[in-house]
Amino acid sequence: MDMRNTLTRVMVATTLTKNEMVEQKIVTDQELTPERIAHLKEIIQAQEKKLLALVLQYNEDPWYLIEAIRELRGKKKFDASITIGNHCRDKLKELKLRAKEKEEHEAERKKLAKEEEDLDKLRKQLPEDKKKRLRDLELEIVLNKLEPAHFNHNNKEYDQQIVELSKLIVSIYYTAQSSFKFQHAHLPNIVKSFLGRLMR
Amino acid sequence: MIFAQEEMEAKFSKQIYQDKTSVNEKNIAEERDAMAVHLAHAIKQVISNIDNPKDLNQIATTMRSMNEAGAILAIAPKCYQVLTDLEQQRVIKDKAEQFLKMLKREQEVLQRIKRDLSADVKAEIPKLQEKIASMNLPPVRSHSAELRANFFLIFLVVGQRICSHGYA
Repeated sequence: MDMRNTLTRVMVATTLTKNEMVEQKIVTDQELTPERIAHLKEIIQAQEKKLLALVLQYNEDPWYLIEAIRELRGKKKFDASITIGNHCRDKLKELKLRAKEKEEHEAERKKLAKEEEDLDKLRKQLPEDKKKRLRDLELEIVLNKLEPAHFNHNNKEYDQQIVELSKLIVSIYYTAQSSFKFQHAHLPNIVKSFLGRLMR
Repeated sequence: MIFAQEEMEAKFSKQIYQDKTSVNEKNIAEERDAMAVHLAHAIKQVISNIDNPKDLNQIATTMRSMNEAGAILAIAPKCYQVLTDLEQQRVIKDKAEQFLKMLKREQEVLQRIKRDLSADVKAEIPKLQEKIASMNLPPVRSHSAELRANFFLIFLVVGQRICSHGYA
């Protein structure tokens, strides 16, 4: 997972820096022909679209996604920030559900292990179906520990990330509003919808 | 390569702004097209010849120092795909290894009290061993693969320099 995040960090930082340089050139270089400007704008748009698609397709770590949102906000890429924010919120919700399921499975494992221990004292064994279930649960717990770090937080930590993400989305709205380049009349509705879905 | 493109653009600007009498938009467009072809070719070679994510990541990091966003965006899908495939294989291998460990531990405990695993569970052990042996993880990074990766890194960097000196 680290290698994936490293690659995404390199990709996001380079694309944003490069595009910012080109945007600057478009603004300052008065001699650029309209065709050339149109071509450069097309390249910027295509690269940003590709960047966003890759981040959404291959990155699932909310801790890294929040870092990427901050970077995008810094470069005034408000729409992209909110799109990744939606993706991050969905991932956090999925992870919370998984964490709840893991807790239930752990409780079930403890119960079966206790039952096995009690039967063992009587020189008896668990029935085969219960034994199989206990084995599956134990295997699941061992495998969970081998998963990337973002899968192994508790619900409180996921909730903290959700709060962090919400604060970030609200701050994006205010940054966008105060930006002299503000052209995002649709943002209030997006932020409202983001927070609304978060509450559900 | 985009860095090279920038240098080419600087040359074009010089032609356009300092020597307006010799501006030839057609030539400039042709040079830009040739540059794009070289860029696409170089990236294609890297994508089709390098499979180790570590090498692909190293190339992306080198491209970062040259501000080569286009090159990174082209290499990244291949790198992500390789990583995804390896992660999927690793999950399968981990599952088999951990299950095998559990069964062996259970078998040891049962044998101490002169019992054994049930026949169907016992039959799983050789199958799991076979499955683990057939999976070759982590990917073997041979000397030739390492040389190939280094070659393509040099290929990209040198290619960028050649293009920037007007070869394209």
